[in-house]
Formats: sequence, C-alpha cells, structure tokens
Amino acid sequence: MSLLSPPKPVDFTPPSPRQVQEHLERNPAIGHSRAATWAPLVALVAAVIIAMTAPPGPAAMLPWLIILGLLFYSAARVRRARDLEARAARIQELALLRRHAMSLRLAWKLLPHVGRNPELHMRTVAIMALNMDLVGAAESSLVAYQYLLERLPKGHPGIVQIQVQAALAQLASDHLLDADATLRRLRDLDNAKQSNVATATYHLALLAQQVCTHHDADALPLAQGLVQKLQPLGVDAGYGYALMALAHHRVGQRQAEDGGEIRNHAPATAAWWSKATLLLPVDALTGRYRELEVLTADATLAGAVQRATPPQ
Amino acid sequence: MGLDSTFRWSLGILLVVFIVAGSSVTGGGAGLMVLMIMLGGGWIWMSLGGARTAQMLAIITAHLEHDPIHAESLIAQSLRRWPVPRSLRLLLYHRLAVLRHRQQRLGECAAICDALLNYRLGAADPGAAWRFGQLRGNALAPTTGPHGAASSGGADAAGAIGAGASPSVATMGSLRSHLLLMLVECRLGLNDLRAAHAALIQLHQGPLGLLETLQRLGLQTRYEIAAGYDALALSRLAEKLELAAIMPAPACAALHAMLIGPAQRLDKPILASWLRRRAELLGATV
Repeated sequence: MSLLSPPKPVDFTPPSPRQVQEHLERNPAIGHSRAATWAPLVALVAAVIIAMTAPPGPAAMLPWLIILGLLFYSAARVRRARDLEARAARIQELALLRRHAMSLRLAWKLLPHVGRNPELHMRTVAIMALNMDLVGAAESSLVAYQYLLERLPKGHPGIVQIQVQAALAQLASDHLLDADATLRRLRDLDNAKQSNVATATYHLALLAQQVCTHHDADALPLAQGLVQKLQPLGVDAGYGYALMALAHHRVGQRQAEDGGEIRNHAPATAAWWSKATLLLPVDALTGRYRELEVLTADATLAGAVQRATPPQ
Repeated sequence: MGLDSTFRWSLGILLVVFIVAGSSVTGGGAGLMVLMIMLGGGWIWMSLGGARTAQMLAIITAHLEHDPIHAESLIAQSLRRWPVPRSLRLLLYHRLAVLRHRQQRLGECAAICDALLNYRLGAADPGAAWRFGQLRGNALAPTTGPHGAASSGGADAAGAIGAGASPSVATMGSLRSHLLLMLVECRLGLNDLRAAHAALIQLHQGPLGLLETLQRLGLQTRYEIAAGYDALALSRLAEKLELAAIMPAPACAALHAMLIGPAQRLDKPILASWLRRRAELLGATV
C-alpha cells in the first residue's frame, strides 16, 4: 500500500470530544514522585546502619536483601522508562507513516502509563491530537490541542505549531470564528524572517480558511510566493496547491455564472492542480479535503493531472 | 573513560566490602564507621557530579544548534570534570562529534565517531534519534505537519481504541547508529568511499528506527551515486520516494535532485524530467 494514499478503512471510530476530555482528566501529568526518587537513597542508608549495628546472624543478611531489592527496583525502573520511550517512538513512527488510526489507538493506551513523565505525557497528547485531526475527528482533536495549550509553558517552542494545527482543526470542524481568532493571534508569522514548518502550516491554514469560507477571490492573492512559503511542508505542500487550484476553479465558475467580467482561470487552475498532483496522489488530496472532488470531476483538468509516483 | 569506570567500580566494591566487614564484626569500631561514611560520601559526591553533568548535557544539546561556541565551551568544561559516569562521558563526546559535524569539520567528527564506536555503546541514549531529529531541523515530529488523509470506521470508539496491537520495542534510536550515520556522512564528505561503505555495512547490521532508516537511505543513495552505481541508486525508486516523502523537506528535495544525474546517465529522460520538476517544486536548486 502506498504511504501517501489513505490507509484502508479499518474497524475504527475515533473518540468523541467528551471521551477525550474524560480520558485526559483521568490521566493527567502528575510529575515525578519525590518518594520514588529518594526511596533508594533512604534504603541504602538504612542498609548501612543495619549492617553496622546488627549482631552477627540472620539479621546480617538484611542489608544484602535491601541492596538486592534496590538493584532489582532500579533495573525495573530503567526498563520501564525505556519501554515507555520505545512505545512513544513507535507511535510517532506510525503517525509519520500515516497510520493515524493505529497510532491513535496506541497513544490512547499509552497515556495512562506516562503520567509520571510530563514530557512524554505532553508528547503523547500531541500525537493523539494530530491523529484525531487526521482521522476526521477534528472536534476531538480540539479538546487535546486546548489541553496542550493550557499546560505548555509560555515560550515553549512547540506552542506556535500547536496553535496552527488547532486553527486547521477549527476550520475542519466549522469553528470558523475560533479559527479566525487563532490565525489573527498568529499574524506575526506573516513577517517571519525564516520559513519553517510552523510558518508554512500557517500559510496553508490561511489559504484553507479562505477556501473553507468560500472567500475564493480573497484566496487568489495568497498565490504570491505560495510555492516558497509552503516548501517546508515537503510533499504536503501539495494540499496548499490543490486548495489554490480549487479557489481559481470556483472563481472562474462564479464569473462564468454571473456573466460579468471574465478572466480565464482555467490555466491557473490547471497549473496549480498539476503541481498538487505531482506531489500527492489525487486520492490523498480528496481524502483530506473533500471539496477537491469537484476538480477530479472536471474533465478539462484530466490533462493536468500528474503522476505522484515515478514513471517507469 | 577507563579511569572513570575504574574509580567508580573500586568505590562500589570497597563499599560492599566494608558493609560485609561491618556486618560480620561485632562492634565494628569507630574507624570502620568513619571509613564507611567516607566511602558513602564519596559515592554520593560522584553521583551528584554525574547529575550535574547530566543537567549540563541537556543544556549543551539545547545550545548545539543556536549557539555552538557556547556549546563547545560547555562541552570542554564538562569533559574536564572527573569522575563522570562512563555513559555520560560517551554522550559528551557524542555531542562534540555532533558539534564538529555542524561546523563541517568532517575529519575531526569522523575521528571522534571512529573512536567512540570502538566502545561498547548499546542504547546509551534512548531517544537520541528523536531529539537529534528535532535538532537537525527535522519536520518529522508528529505535531509539525498537516500531512495525512482521513480514514473512517464504524465500531465503538473506546473498544476500537483498546484493541490496538502491542508495539515493537526494536525501534529505539541508539547512540551507535547515530554515530555511524554521522561517520558515513563525514566519510562521504571527505570522499573516502571505502570507509563510508564499511560504516554503511555496519548500519545494515543492526535494527534502526524510522528516522535513522530515512537518514541511511539518503546517505546510501549518495554513496551509490558517488561510487558510480547509478542503476542501484534508481532501484526500488517508488519505495525510496515514498520514504523520502516523510523526510524533512530539504532532505526530500535533495534526494530527488541527487537522482536526476543517474536517470540522465541511464538514458531515462522522462524519469529525469519528472524528478527535476518535483525537486524544483520541493525547493532544491537543480
């Protein structure tokens, strides 16, 4: 199966916002236990004191038993920490491989075990949020994004990215006013000197906002420098190019219907659609944005469709 | 590094010996107690030193990208400290190799990697690949891309979520594989193809995480092209480009650009043109 195509539907229903809320409340980040940190030292001191004061005989065995117990305890703690890290790494890999349903399942199961490790806890929630967004549960993902935004320290490098992702989820779940407010808060990214994944996702969100709200004519000026702006997204920039093609297509159609001043938008539509399909297969594009199906149905665009897989 | 280990082990063995002596001699005497307290204190002092170095390591890692000069001085300061647990000293040298790699001092980086690879490393730094993936401007963190397509389903949410498979533990990034990746890149940069090949073989011998597999793919393709194995570079192309799609954008673009040459040399103009268009769109200078 192609990595870039949507995975086959599995027997899976994403969690509802209420389920996510309850799961997060039941499994909060509680941080490291002080008792667990100091217990080995206290036990070691106790072993030394017992060794020095206990009379010869069976009692002399006690310090050894304590030390043996400490060794097993430490080994078990290290093993558990490594196991949790490995599970989190596996979940991230599944998300990267676009196995979002499976990644979400495993993240959901992992969350109750990572409360003692706040960093891992937040990372797991972030993966859950992204996965929920990408399996079509944008409402649920918003609960997780909100949870993260309320708890991440100010100035955390991940905050901007999470806000942009939240804006995309708000758009996908028709929270258009919230999305607008979120994107307004991120306006500084317009003037960012360096383009990175966060700024690229922001520009994609701006474009998606105009297209989702049918302000297609307002989307057209965003074409200026769009390729450079979206490049940090890699092949995922294809989603942005497809949205731009859709904006041109709709504007062209509207002008034709109105019978007013007609500018031929067909070449621009075909050019952007060509770029989009060169990077991503058509089913991946329409899987993410159902609105794009109108482009696949347009016979005049058939010639613009490129191959996203290498020609033989 | 050997001195650190010897000191630590000696202290540990002495502590155990004194505990045994203390438990077998009645009224062990004040001298024995003082010795035990001194040894215990020494152990705690050493552990606190290790904890300080571990904290410093986190600061060094954070500075590697934005303030390499400060990172270098912190590494030098930490390496002067003694005793430091062996695993921490290995990680300090690893960070030094990363720094040299960033500074493009490839010869020094390769020498450090070579030296470290002579030690038994294992998974001394679980999660190294994840953190260094981020350090290298990697867009692979799941919160950093709007990629993916939706799937649908029909079963009860909680039940469906609870029915996931157990994960594999064999995907941990290890210090060894990260050092090997840097070594291959340095050797390729130094045009030492024989040494690069030897390091690549070692990379194929152990399990790798996804990020490391992606990095190995890029390096191996670079090696194959440099060594003139154009057909090999273009073999299993669809699979390679699928993996490239989840690389950070610059790496993905670079891989496409790299493959244009082999396609042209093997007289595949359609493929070369397709690769060029994608590379340009992804931001590569072709």
